[in-house]
Amino acid sequence: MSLRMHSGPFPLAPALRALLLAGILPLAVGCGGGGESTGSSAGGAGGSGEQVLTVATAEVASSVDPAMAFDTWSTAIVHAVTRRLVDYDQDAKLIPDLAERWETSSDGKTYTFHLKPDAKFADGTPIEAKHFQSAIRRVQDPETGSPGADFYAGISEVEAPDARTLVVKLKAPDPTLPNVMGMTFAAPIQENPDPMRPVSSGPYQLETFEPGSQVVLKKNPNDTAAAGWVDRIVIQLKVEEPLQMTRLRNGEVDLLPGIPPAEYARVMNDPSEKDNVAQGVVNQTWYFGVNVTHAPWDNPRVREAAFLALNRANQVSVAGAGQVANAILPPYVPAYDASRKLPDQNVARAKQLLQEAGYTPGKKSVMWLSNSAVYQRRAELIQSDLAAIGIPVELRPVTFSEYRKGYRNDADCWYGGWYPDFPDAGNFLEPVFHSRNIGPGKNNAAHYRNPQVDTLLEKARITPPGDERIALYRQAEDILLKDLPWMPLYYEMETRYFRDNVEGVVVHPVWRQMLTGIRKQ
Amino acid sequence: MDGSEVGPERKRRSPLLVFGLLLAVGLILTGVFAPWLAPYDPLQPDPRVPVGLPAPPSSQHLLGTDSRARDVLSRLIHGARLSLSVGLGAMVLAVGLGTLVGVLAGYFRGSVDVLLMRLTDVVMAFPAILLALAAATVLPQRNAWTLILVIGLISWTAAARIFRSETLSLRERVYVEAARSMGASHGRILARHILPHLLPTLLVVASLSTAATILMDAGLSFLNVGVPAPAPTWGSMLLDAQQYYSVAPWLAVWPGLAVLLTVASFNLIAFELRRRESRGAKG
Repeated sequence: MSLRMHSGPFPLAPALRALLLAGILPLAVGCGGGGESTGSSAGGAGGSGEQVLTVATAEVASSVDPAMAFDTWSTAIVHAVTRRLVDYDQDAKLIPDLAERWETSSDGKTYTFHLKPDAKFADGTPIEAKHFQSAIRRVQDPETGSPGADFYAGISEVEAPDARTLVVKLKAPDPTLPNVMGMTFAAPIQENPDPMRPVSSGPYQLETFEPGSQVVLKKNPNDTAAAGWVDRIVIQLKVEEPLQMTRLRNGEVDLLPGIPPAEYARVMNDPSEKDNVAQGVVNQTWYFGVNVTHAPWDNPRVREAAFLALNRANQVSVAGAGQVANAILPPYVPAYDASRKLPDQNVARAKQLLQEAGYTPGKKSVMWLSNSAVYQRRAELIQSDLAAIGIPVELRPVTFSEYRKGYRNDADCWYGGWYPDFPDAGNFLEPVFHSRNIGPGKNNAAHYRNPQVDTLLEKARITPPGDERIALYRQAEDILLKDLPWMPLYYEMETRYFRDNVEGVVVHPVWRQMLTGIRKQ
Repeated sequence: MDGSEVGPERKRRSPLLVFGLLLAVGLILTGVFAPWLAPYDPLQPDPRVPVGLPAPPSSQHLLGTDSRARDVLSRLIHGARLSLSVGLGAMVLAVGLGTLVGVLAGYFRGSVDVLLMRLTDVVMAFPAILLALAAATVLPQRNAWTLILVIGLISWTAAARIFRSETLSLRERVYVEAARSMGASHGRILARHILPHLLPTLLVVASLSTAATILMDAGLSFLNVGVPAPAPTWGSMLLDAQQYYSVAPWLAVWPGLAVLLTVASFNLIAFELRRRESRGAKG
């Protein structure tokens, strides 16, 4: 059974990451006029003809050890300095990377990966099956204390019969194993790795790592894919947003992970800034969640009415960027159905439904939300949308850590953002809708209990990738969209802001913050 | 107090005092009658206005709308009600507590004085806004009442010091000694001979303190630990305006002006009252 779906620390940690990102990114920084390109930027590293990309973020990177990296920037750095068996293309499709191909045994419990012949670490050591074996064993070892351990708990044995064959045996069939092998935790490592200085297997290698201050990456000469990309990447950590902006204007910084709130509206409304911005939808659904065991949300018709009262387009307008959600699943999971269409706001119909439901306004529902200003704006709109049809809601803005605890602890309703650890519908849906995950502090905060959905999720989980699996998840989603324990609002869109001479910046639907593939003129 | 005793020169009206009083009274009336004065519901978006970017002033929305299509004027008017209730409520608590501590310390002197004044020093030693932030963060629920409590409990120290020194000098007056020698109780001396003479100072301190508490309330809302959203506090309006200052600079002007005028009016009143009093004392 795929343990990552249980209510362990996992879905929580990425959700934390997601929400933090969402709190910060729609706000990031804008620059003066885009200005004069200075060719190469300052930032600690330089050299004639060498191209240096300097990035500034308000966040920190806590670790560059593949077994430990889990926050946004640690993951982005490990992603840049490693390759894994598989990767994702720009459409979030799983593609082979260090594995040429792989096959599954008929019982679904054994995966055999065949490695590419001439992959090398940055120090010239050939990358072999044993290096993946060490990585997985290390993540699984409780001594390591890896935040990714649960993802690999379903693996009973990893074997390396020869240099180019890796055999992974599972306790139970799990069609998402390739996804798990694509996470940065499973990047190949050499024996006795130095957690501060892992040997690179990817397009970049670590030059310096000063946690909380600066990270410098330089190109790995053994990785040919990086040809044309910038030679060095300097990541300035803990740079406050207003300062980010100043540094970008002065040419000290080339790329920002977002545009700060104070500048967002101006930059996005300035046509001359068009080429300095990259935006992309990522796998994250913002939603209004309700506890289906609390009045008035225990009445399905009240939920339907509430959904009809919501103006999802307004959520996007006030967030600045995003895409109206017409499903619960985000766009980059295989079971996502782009043809779905949810009804638009219809206040008259909503009122009528409420009347039919025999609804009378009772105690105010308390809506939990994180107290950042951006969050609040969107939650206020939900509140006023619901007030317009006569459902009173009280906002409870609290610090993010209180919020995470609070909404899982028998709350009435909450404003939430959720994303999967990797592009898979089960990884997204099971923690939050399977009845097994109901309970104080657990992820099914809606207290949603539907045996039909439970069965579909359990069946889909062991069905191999393909149409049948997709169909099962879509059936589950059909029911969820009818029952509406979550009212999907919109999909998160991230924004990057960069100087005129920077090219190739993308928002990756899976990796989000990506340092690879960037060029400079 | 008996107004007929006031000498002819002190009767001269100070235009600044009148201005301050008019402004303060006007603001208080605005707050009291907010639901009748405000043209729109301060919490509901105007469905005719698109949500997203703030809209500039128009004939329908005299001060424009915010990013959620809510009428800024209505929010400002309701904001007066919130700011003034919190400000005045906290002032009453602060001045009440300050008077109590100050008078007791000044009157009894000795160990009571030492104890109370060291307590005052301790509270004063912390920057007020830090204390308020910490208190507002740990509160299980934030609303106007808890905010009054937080601000009031932090802002009493200045009043305590002033009233202590006033009391120290008052208790040495001949009439107090006379009352004491005739066997009057402490309670009677405090109620009949000390407190009434503190009244002019009380007015000044109350006025100053109101300006301070309103400013602190605005500051806390700006830091997002005031009365929670969607309450139309001036501080939260400023916070909201911050994101849009480059495209909708007017959004920050209105709440900023409101805080400025309110604080200025109470400060003016305090300033003028103090001037009159010191002139009266000399004369």
